[in-house]
Amino acid sequence: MFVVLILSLVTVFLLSRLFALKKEVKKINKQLQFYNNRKTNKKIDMALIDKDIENLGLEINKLIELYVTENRMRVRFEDEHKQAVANMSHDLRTPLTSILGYIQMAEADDVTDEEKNELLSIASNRAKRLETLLKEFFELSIIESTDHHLKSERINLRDVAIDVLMTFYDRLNEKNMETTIHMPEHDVFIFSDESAVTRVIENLMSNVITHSDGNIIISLEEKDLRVRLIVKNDAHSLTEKDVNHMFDRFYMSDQSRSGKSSGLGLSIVKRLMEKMNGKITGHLKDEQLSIVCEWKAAE
Amino acid sequence: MTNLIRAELYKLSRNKTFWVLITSLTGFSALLHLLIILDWWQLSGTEFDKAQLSDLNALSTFTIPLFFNIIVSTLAGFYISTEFSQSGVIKNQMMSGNKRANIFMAKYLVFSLGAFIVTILIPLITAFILIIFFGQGDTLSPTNLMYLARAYGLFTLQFLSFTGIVLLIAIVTEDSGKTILFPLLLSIVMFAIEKLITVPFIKMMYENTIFYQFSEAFKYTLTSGEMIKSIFIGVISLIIIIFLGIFMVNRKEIK
Amino acid sequence: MSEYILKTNKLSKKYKHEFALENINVTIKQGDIYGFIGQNGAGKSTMLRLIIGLTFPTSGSIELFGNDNRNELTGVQKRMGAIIENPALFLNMTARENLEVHRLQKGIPGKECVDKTLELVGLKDTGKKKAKNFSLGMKQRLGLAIALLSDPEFIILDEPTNGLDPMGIVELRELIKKLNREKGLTVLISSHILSELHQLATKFGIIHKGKLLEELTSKELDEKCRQHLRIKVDDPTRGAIVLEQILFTTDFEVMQDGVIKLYSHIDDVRKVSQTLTNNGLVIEHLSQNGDSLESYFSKLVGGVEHD
Repeated sequence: MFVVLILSLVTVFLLSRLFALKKEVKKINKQLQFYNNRKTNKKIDMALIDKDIENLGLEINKLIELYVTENRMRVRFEDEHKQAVANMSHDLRTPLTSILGYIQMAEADDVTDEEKNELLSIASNRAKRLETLLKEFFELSIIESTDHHLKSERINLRDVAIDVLMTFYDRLNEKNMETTIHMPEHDVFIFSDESAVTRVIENLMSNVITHSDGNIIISLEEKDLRVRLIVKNDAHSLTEKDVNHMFDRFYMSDQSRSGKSSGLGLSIVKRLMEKMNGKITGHLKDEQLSIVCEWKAAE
Repeated sequence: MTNLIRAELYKLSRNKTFWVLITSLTGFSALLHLLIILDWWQLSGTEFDKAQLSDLNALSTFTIPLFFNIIVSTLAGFYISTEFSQSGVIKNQMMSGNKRANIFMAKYLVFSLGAFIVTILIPLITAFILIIFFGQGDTLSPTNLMYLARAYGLFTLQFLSFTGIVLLIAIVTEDSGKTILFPLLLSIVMFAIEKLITVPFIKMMYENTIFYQFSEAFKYTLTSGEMIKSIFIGVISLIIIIFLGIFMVNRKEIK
Repeated sequence: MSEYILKTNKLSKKYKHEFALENINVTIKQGDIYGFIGQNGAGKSTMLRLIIGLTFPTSGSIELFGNDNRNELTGVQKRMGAIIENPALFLNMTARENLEVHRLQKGIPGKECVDKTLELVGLKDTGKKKAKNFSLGMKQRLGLAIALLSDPEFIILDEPTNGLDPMGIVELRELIKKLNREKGLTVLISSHILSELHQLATKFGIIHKGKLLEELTSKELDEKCRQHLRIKVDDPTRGAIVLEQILFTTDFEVMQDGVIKLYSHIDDVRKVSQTLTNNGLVIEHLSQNGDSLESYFSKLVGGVEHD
């Protein structure tokens, strides 16, 4: 009698558990169907009655998350692309309008030859700037394309930096900028693409020469297996907001889009640094802007 | 539903009032039983006497509506009402994607379990432990155990309706003070009806409520007719209260 | 997936004899960050409460994820998260315990989500500290963590910046942007300060005394709020040259339709028009456009007041 009672209780317990588990599997199935029909991005939920089913749910949710983020990344990429094209046409229109305007004025009947020459030379300067902009834009799009691969060689960053800085000697002198350079005594090795590193330093230097209000300090240091190249310059008119956005495409602190540069230089630097698995950050302190490029040191 | 019950249990197990009630009632109940067993305090004329269970006389204290009322409504005040008033966490639960009826049922079940533990289980367990400890274990003969099982079975059934009423009051008033006060008033009114009113109609009505059945449950001799009536009253009240609760919760506007 | 996350149709809510909301038609698309702006008592919280299903409309309908059946509400709620008014917390529990209750309640498999969400809102190191000892800012973060725990597709945040310091507000904004970008999270966020949401929202709804005054995209808002001179001349290219050569400014844009937007010389309309005319241009249109955000908002709200 007692045994029968116990046995029947055990049976009832096991049956109800089987039923509950089966119901749970059905519920998960239904949610996955809903998800697979692309009706939702929702992760699944369940009655937390069994550890193993719970683990199954956890793994399913990881899968869902993976798909959602991947999909999102694709959408974002497409959006950015559209945005870039829109930005480009917008950014080309204003300089183009002004070039056309100068040519139109030069073509007028009532201008003297002297005036005409002046107008045409302004137009040609503008056109050259537009050319640079297009070139940089092209370069950026190449860097950003997924099939653009950088080499990974052991290079001596110290030598590369010194070489690039030498080429800027004349321009620095010309602008009368006081430049301090701190280089370590020993060689500094990183694994990277030499031409990309060169382009980064060149762009940083052109940027600093165009925008600095005075002193420039360039230093290279190696610490805890990290290599840092720091370019620091006086920047009295820069704000925190400018620094936050300075690596964005076409961002210019004066908003006038009339300066000598295209606004793409730093974007190129940033993309290149990302491609090299390096890091780039900008800081503003005591009216001094420092741009820090960081690589992993090679043994 | 399982999830909601687990969540409610998680909250109950971390509820300070619940633990205070458990410890203080364990102490209080142990003390009362001790006094009775050692004959330092004598109660007579209880139903336990009739059942030759005088050692369990202290249990009768815990079966008086006015007494357990205070315990149950305190728990409701600090476990249910606070969710509505002070912290507002009820909002989160109501928008968690669970049916309101299920939320109500989970709350009801776990709250009843908590109330059951503090007002029924603890006095019983402490009584058993003390009786065995003082070598009076033979009072717990099969016949006596059968009586206790029947009495507490019926009592618990009525008790489940009572916790339902307290829960309803807690949800309606959303205030722990009122949650403690209103059920108490109800019990006092019922007590007054029992003792003072002699109008036959009201008397008859009263005898068909769970309040009357609380004391009926412990009657030593109970005909099967009376037992069925008691079960009937308990089940009907329970169904009505649960339906009322679900109906109310479904229409409630959450602040 | 339906394109609209939320669509309300003539949504009204009446308390006693007064309308808290009257005929509100709002649409929120997948991926929007919708800023719901209104003064205190304008009906923001009532609206959010109706959407999440805490109260019920007097008339009108709410369609969530393309579904307007009230019986399906619980299924829809599972895809959402919300903070309504103050963050609702179990004060005698730690941050982790608070989230555990909600994890159980929502049936989210695996405890990993608790730590992940705490890290996301920056409350990972609160340890055994109980919620009652949290600062207001920390409470807001924990409220946000609760809303985000189930990885919802749509979250509703009612004045989430209340009690946050400026740094906290920036962090919150960044977090919302990040989730919106990376997961496509749709957000409905309310505030009584327009400028607070200016950098964040992609669409705005402005509500006053229970009525939706205006619904506009952030682009439209920017358009209205960046001060500029809108110039239309017979020859835009010449116009651009004149501005460059004679007024020495390059702070302008030439729009597709030939309109020039000049961002400098805003207080110097006379000089601009004179210069243009002197150089043989015919001015077809010249106007000063744009308000500051707050003056735009108070104009809108004030306009109703004077009715």
